[in-house]
Amino acid sequence: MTLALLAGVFTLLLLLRIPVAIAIGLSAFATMLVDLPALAAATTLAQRSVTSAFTFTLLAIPLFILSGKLLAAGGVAQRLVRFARAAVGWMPGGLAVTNVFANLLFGSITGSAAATTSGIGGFMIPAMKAEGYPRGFAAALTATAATTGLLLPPSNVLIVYAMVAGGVSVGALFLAGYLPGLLLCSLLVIVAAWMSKAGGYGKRDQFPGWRALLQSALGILPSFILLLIVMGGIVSGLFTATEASAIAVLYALILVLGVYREIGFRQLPQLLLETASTTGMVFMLIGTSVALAWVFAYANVPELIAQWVGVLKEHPWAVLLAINVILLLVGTFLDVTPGVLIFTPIFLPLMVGLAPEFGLTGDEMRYHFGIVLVFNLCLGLVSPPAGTTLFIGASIAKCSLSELNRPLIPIFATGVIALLIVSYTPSLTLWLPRFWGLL
Amino acid sequence: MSVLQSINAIMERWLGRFLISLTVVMIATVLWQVLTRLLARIAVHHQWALQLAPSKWTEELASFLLAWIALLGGSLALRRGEHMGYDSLYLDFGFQGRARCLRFVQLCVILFGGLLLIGGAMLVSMTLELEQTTPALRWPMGLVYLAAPLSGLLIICFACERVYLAESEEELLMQSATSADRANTGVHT
Repeated sequence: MTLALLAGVFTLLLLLRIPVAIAIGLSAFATMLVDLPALAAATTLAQRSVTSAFTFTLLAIPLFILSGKLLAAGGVAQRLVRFARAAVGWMPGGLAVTNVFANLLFGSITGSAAATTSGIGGFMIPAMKAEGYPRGFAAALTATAATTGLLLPPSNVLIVYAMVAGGVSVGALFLAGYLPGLLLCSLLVIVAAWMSKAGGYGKRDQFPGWRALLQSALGILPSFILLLIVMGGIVSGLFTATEASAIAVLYALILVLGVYREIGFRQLPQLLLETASTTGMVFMLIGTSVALAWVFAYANVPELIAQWVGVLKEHPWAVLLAINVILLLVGTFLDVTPGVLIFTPIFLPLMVGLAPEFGLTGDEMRYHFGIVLVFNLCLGLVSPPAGTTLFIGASIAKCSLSELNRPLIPIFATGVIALLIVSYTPSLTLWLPRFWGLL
Repeated sequence: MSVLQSINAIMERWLGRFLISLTVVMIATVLWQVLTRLLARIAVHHQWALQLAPSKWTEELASFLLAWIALLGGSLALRRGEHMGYDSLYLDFGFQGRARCLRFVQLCVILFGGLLLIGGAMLVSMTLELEQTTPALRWPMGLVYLAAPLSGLLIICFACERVYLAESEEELLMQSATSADRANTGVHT
């Protein structure tokens, strides 16, 4: 009953173009009214909004947002594109493959799918159009490749997961995201090259020579030193994710203002303001989703779902598949951050209980499931008809969403295949954290 | 109406300045913590005589600032139209339908702002009455929660303006342009 009410209110609000965070907040409030007086419900909503932001671990989010914005505004994107083109532009489907690779590089620095779509897409989509690639293909490919930014550290979504899952080390979780992200990218490279070849799009670049490749590599070296400092510091335990994010801001400031010099001190207030505004948007999503998760817990939804999926308990793989499918469907309408906050408390206990069936300890399952969950919801960002990065890609390419649909089918199918491989091969996610002795 | 518009414009400007200052202080606080922790570690390592304790208050001050930035920044993001919404159905509406839809959206936003305002005010008065304080700095918890009613109030003020604007052509144009603007704004995912 509660669930039906909630789903109804939420869908109606979303369809009428209410901002997602407010739709979540109001449907959580409406559902609370079933059991609570209005004043208590309002207090609960306000309290969750404040306390979920009054958290030191989540401080990394605004700081990584700022360092990402600094790097994006400061001229890192075109340097990455230059390097990616020199490195892989000679392959079949030259620019399409370059696009995927540049998204991977930029995503690993900024940790944000939307920033990556606009940052890399801003360069790559017009370039691909100029070389005769269909705009729908260019947009669909960029939007999908950009989601790797959420799997590759530093990733704000993984930080959020570490917080709700409890007892998960951010460093180990970050490491767990690398191989699945790389797998998705390699598969996308293959499908991009194949589609370009089959469609007769574009042309291959000539290999520019080792000298040019090295030169373009030097241009992106400082960005990768940053990554090394952040990841090295977190994994070695020298500093926490939050502290690493502050160091990232300092480093990005010095790099962008002192070395690249494409923006000056004058642009800083604007970037800080944008950071505060984006932070506000993200935390409104977090606060309202935490309130909604509380409503779910209050209404015993996790237990209900556990019972429901428990029918399949004899077949643990089927349980995982069912979760995959549910998350894919939900991910179409729900953003990644709320998805993580709402579904972790529902599915994680179930999966931890099934861990032995997968040959894992409960602890290992926490990491594996986190990556599967985020991967799953990431695909939601590009699943038609309502994916967030699809909107951004389409608006850069100046084409309608329906133009994206056809080229998206093989690209999206590749994503689903990668998801299934990652879901059912826990050793892929767990290999790196084990190798570094973090598990 | 124009009174509200000019008040909102002034509030937006000052809100922006306030948020920028909070963000700068927040970054400085976390950097200070990194520095003191590293120094403390080095001091222990070299067995220096001086006592360097990593400061405990920095974590709390930074979280406190984050709570304020998050809540007030949320109202700014609504003002700037940065929050994501799905416009597949909206785009099928005619002029009248869109205006009605926009008005309904802003009414929902006002309702949400009202919940934050009332619920937040309750929290502030409750925690002040109980004299609840933050663990390290011993600041009243009411000060942390104060961000919620303030944010709610700003949200209501900003949204009231848009209810009246809903029928103006400019507003409709702005609304249909947001999907293109998203490329430059929503960076959270």
